[in-house]
Amino acid sequence: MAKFPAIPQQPSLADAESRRRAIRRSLRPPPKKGGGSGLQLFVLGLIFIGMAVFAAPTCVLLVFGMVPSIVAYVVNRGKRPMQAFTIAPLNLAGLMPYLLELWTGHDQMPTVVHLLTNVYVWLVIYLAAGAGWLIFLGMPQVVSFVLQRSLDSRKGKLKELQSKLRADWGAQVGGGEDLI
Amino acid sequence: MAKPLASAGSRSTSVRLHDRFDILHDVPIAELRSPTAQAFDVDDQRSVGTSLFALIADPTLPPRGQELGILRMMRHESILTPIDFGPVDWVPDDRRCLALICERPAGGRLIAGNDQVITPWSDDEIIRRLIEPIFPGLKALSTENTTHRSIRPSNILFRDAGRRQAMLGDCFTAPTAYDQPIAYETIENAMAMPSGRGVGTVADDLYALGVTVLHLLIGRQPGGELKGDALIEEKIRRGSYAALCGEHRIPTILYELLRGLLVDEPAERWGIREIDLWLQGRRMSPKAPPTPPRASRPIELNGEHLFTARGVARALVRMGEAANHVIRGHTLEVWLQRTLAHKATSDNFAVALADVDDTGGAPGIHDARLLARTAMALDPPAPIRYRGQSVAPEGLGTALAVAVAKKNDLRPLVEILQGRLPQFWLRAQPMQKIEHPVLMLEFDRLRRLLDDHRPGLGMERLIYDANPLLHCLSPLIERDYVDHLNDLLPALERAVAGGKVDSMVVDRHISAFAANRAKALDDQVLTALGEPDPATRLLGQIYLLAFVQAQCGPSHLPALTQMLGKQAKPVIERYRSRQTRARLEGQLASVIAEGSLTRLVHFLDDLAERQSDAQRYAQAGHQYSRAEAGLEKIEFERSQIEETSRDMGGLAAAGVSLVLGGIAIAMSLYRYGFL
Repeated sequence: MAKFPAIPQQPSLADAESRRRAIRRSLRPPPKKGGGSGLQLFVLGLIFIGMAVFAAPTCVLLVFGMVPSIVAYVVNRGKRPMQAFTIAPLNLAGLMPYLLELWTGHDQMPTVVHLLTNVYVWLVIYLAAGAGWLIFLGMPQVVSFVLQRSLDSRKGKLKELQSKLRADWGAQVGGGEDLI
Repeated sequence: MAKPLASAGSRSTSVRLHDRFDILHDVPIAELRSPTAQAFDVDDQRSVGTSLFALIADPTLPPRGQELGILRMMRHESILTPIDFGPVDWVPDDRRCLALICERPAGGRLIAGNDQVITPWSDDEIIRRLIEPIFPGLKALSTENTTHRSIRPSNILFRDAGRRQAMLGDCFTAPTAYDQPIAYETIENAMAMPSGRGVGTVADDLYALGVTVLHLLIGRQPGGELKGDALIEEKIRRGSYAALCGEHRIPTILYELLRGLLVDEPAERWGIREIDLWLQGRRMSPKAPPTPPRASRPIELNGEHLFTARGVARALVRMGEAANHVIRGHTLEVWLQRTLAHKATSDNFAVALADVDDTGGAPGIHDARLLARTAMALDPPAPIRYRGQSVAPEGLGTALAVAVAKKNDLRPLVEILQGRLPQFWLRAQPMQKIEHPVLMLEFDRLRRLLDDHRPGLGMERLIYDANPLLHCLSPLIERDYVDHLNDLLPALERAVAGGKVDSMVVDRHISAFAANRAKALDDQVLTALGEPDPATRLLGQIYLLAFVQAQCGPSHLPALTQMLGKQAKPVIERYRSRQTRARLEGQLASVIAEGSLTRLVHFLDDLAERQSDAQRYAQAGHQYSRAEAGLEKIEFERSQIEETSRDMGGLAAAGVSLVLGGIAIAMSLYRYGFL
């Protein structure tokens, strides 16, 4: 009797499903620990409430003035929200003269209203934030340019070393056929 | 030949040996020439009043190297012994030949040829003129444990002008017993071919003495009209004494001697002691020769009715390939066991049939070996008979050398060694001798040598090992008769200068000759000579010749150095460094100009330089690999550059922003008087 070729054993459907599940599990990022983020939110909430109670004008000015940074943080909430980290210092720098004006004045809330109704104040704050945005957009291009030059320079040096070695020892030094 | 034909001071028709002996090649001495050597007159520059002559040996035959040395030391008046010997430029043949200077016998030769008929000598003449004068020589040979093996009337000389004192003639210019007619050889030696008879024993010399005595007694060669195989058959059938004496009446005084000397069984033959006693007048009754085992009924082979194992062996050998049916059939086995009933013979036959050593080989070779073993089993003292060759085990070396020199087919002789037939012959001997185990080991060594195909080993090496005084048979320098290592390089230098060599100068004969003569030669040099890589092979050649130059000189070999140095480019290219190659190529011409092979080999293969080159090459290879890995890393980094720029750009942007923001805040604080 002729022998048939061996047929590979088919895996059962249940086995295939369980394997797919296992692959999905392995691809899924590990669940985030909510404890840290919740604590941060709680502390921020306490600070905000404290400021709202004890320094309401400052709190109002900060909330309205730091909108670009807040938006940047919300839009780009990665592990390292560099966009927000870039915009926030300049945003705060743009806001700082008005905060100091507020802190050195007497009638605080009307001063806040006065400042928030002044278009130049908004212009200064948002231009400062915009400068941060521009820096965030332009800096990768600069870094890329510098890295490219660095790589080209390293490559050139290594190629030169290889040429010198081939000249001294023949192409065989690099595993090639010696033509001479 | 480039070497001067005659040294300064010698005559124009002479050649000088060792600055002393002028051999006059225009003054031949016909009466002293032997079949394998011409004789010429000699002028001794340091003459002490002795008349000398020279024997010029046939260059196609190996001289008896070991015996030459012994005879030169012996200097016995009863034997022609060489005073000096060495190769000379032999003008008549336009080549170099071995010349042997001997004291000239005053009385000339007894007879010119073996077939010459002479007036029969009386028994008294035979004793006084032949036996008494030569017996001390035979005694001396026996003491030295060597043999003459050329005792026959045509090789008997007279040392005195009155022709009263006989002496034994030349026995050293050709292989043992090379020119002995069958009548003068024992049955076993007569069966062997002339070039393969082996050194033999003093008993063989005494047998030849007996036949010589008989020759002088009857005035012509014993054996009558019988020649060749017919005479051997007659000796086997009737015994040597009866076959050679025939119907001749032997005088009573010589009867005992001849009966004693012509006994076919060597152990029963008269020895030196018996002849000594006989010469002193003591008369002994000759022993009855033992008869070989004889069957009651014959076995019929090829139309012959045979009664003895020896007869069967000879008939089987004559039958050739057809004999294998008989050997493998039952008739022979049954005849040996039941009819001949000689246990030793039937046991030997059984061993021959089932020899465990006989492995492999083509069917024809296998059958030929079986036939040879069977012949040895049935007739152990007879020589090895294989594919038309018939040699005594000890004569294999000379047989090979003669076959090479005469360009005969070597295969049967080589197959004898490959088939371990000499070892079988030794095992088959009924009487084991003390030297047999040593010979067994020697034949095993020779067989291993034969199986090693590297240059310097193999068949060529075997020939030089077996013939100690054989000159180098390389076609390049054969005519230069190079028999010492000292002469090898000058001969090669002449060959190269004469344009005989294009590239490779060391052939298999030269390498085997050098390896035989220079025992300290490194085995690796021989291995290098057989390598397929041309550079290694060339380096092996230079190493071998440089070794010989360091051992024996000469110090200046311009043509050889030039020829080998010119081919050295592949050797220089073994160095990896281009700078080293360029430097060596630049210096090569000046090294070649020095004409020293030792300098050339040190220049081309400096160990420290090679080690340094290898180390630096390894470092360079490592550096190259690291550079290659670096380039791969750069390409990987380039493929990742967008992501990296984004990450690093973000960080840099944050940093820049922090600094700028900090400065702006500080300025604000300063403006409001906080700083």
